[in-house]
Amino acid sequence: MVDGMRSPHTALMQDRRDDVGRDATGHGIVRSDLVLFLLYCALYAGFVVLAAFGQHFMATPVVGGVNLAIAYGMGLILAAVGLAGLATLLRRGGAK
Amino acid sequence: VIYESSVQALVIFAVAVAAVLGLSFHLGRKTASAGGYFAAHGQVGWFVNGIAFAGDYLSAASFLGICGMIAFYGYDGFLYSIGYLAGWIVALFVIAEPIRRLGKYTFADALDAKFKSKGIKVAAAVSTLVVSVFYLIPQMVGAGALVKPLLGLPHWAGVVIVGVTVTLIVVTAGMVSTTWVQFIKGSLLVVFCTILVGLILGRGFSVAAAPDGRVLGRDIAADAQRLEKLPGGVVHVNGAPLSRENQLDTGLRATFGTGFGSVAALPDGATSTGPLGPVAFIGTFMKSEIVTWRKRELRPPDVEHPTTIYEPKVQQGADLLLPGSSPTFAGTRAPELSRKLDFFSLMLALFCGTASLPHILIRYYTVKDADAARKSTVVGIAAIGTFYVLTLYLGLGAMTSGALDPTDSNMAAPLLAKSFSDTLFAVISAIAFTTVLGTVSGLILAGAGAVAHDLVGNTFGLVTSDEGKVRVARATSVALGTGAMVLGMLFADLNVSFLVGWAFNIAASANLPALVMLLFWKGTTKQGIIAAVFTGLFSSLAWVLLSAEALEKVYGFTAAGAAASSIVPFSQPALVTIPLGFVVLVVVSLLTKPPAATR
Repeated sequence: MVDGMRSPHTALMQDRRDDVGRDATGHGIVRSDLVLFLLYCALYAGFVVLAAFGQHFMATPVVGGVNLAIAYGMGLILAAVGLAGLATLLRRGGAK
Repeated sequence: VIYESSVQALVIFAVAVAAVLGLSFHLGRKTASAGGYFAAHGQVGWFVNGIAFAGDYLSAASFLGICGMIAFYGYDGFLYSIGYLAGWIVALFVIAEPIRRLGKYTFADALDAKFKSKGIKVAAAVSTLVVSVFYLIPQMVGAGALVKPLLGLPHWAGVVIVGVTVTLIVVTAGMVSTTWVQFIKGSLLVVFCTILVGLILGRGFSVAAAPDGRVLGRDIAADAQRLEKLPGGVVHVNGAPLSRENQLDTGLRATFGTGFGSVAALPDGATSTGPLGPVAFIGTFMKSEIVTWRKRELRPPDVEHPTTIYEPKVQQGADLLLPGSSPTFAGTRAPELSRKLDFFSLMLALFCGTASLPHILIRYYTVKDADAARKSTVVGIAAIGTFYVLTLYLGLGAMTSGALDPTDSNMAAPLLAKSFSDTLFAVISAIAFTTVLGTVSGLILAGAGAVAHDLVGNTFGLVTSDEGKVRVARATSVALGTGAMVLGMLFADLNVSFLVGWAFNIAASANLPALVMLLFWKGTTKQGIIAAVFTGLFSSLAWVLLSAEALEKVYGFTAAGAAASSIVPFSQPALVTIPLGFVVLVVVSLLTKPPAATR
């Protein structure tokens, strides 16, 4: 997969060769990306369902008097930043 | 509310606008080619591009709309923050790399890379234009909202200043100047909002009470404020003509020393908290009682003239920090599933919409390759995520600042800055205003690219030279800028975040099914793509324009009349129109499958 130290041209070719089910037009998605993407989708869907059906859960204080609604919402924002960083690290690691 | 201008604000504002224009003219001398004009030669570094993503994305809607919604209603504004950021995960994992690999200047290039079909180019270009215009409206409305208190100018003047400045930026240097404007404003916005949040935490909360101990908001009848609209445009506040000496909050300030948006009680009977940490700030807010303001409309024959009464309502902080605290999302607290659908639909639109926005998609062509596209997305997510965490503090800070304008939720963030100092207010407003410039530039550029490169150039072959395309793009930019100004004046009264929600619905419905299926399903045909784009575009557009919200807020129906006349069950179409796009794409693709593929 992606190695930090190579020319843009080889990077493009390597991306294509190693990606799951990806052809020359760019079909498919890298497996580590797919796992992280689905993980985030599950977190987001869980949030939406709780917001709509679990008001009493959302009202539960979790840390320092802050309720689950705020903690989960902040968590989703931080998770997006964390997963984006993690995905980049996994790609780098996968090349070695 | 009447706003006064200050010389200091004027100077800071003029310097900011002049700097942006100067930069544009400087860069414009180097960008004659189409590659430079539409895609900044593909030479923008990934870090700069990432921050420019933030400058592009964090616009009037985020800064003014979300802060205003949190300041008025609490948690529900934060739902937008969560959804807007979540959409970037789709952009990062699904869209970023393939879109860079497939395209050259525009979204239509990528969608059409496999088929070379004029129909796809037209469909993608039309969808780009419609989405860009819909997204332009809230940006222009936001610009008008910003100049009112900053320069003491009317709404339309702000719209015109933005329209003219942006058209100049885009016409002179296209993507090169747009990128640098977005980079500078993106960084400044995040830095200064961090400073503002530091001040909010440092101030903490204090109870608003008169010297005799009476707490603001406890006596609804005594504290209510009355606004009457008399014939001939005369406005009366509490029975006397509106003037600098008689504004909506004049009476409150005289009695309590503070205006709209205050604390009625703090935990353990305290009167003020002093500085608070980020967690303690929210924790204390939850245990406090907050004064919010609700308006009640009275029309003749009940009263002599159309009258709006602003009444205080003391609410528990814990209740304000739960979903469903605003009219927009009240359905989440209703027992019936049918009333929750609007909420599901909006959260789906925000999730799917980011990666379908044309002005975000074109930014992928300014970097050199797919790897840089991805890295810049990660930088963008970090900057944008930081900002959205700050929005909660900005909103709650404004809610308790005593400086709200109950007639205009979009003013909450600038007025919050003003409650600290006039200088900070001028700086924050100038930054927000120039960030509006950045976003509007990106949108106009996306629309101009669609017309010049996709329609006039590639589809109809009227202009094929690079110079010709740039000329057409410049002319289109002037036309789009003018159109945006008109729309910005027509829609002046809507909350900008609400309008942007609609733009996300339309973008996601029109573009996402085609993009995703092209990338992940080999059975996709060109007819399938064309059908999906047009179906998603027109079904979501029609839905939005026929919704109860549009009837009430755009066409001027009363709330009851709008609810009775609307033919769609809820206001956000994405829940229906995104799946519809996918179904249409699959069905049409199967019906038009080429013989070779049936082996």
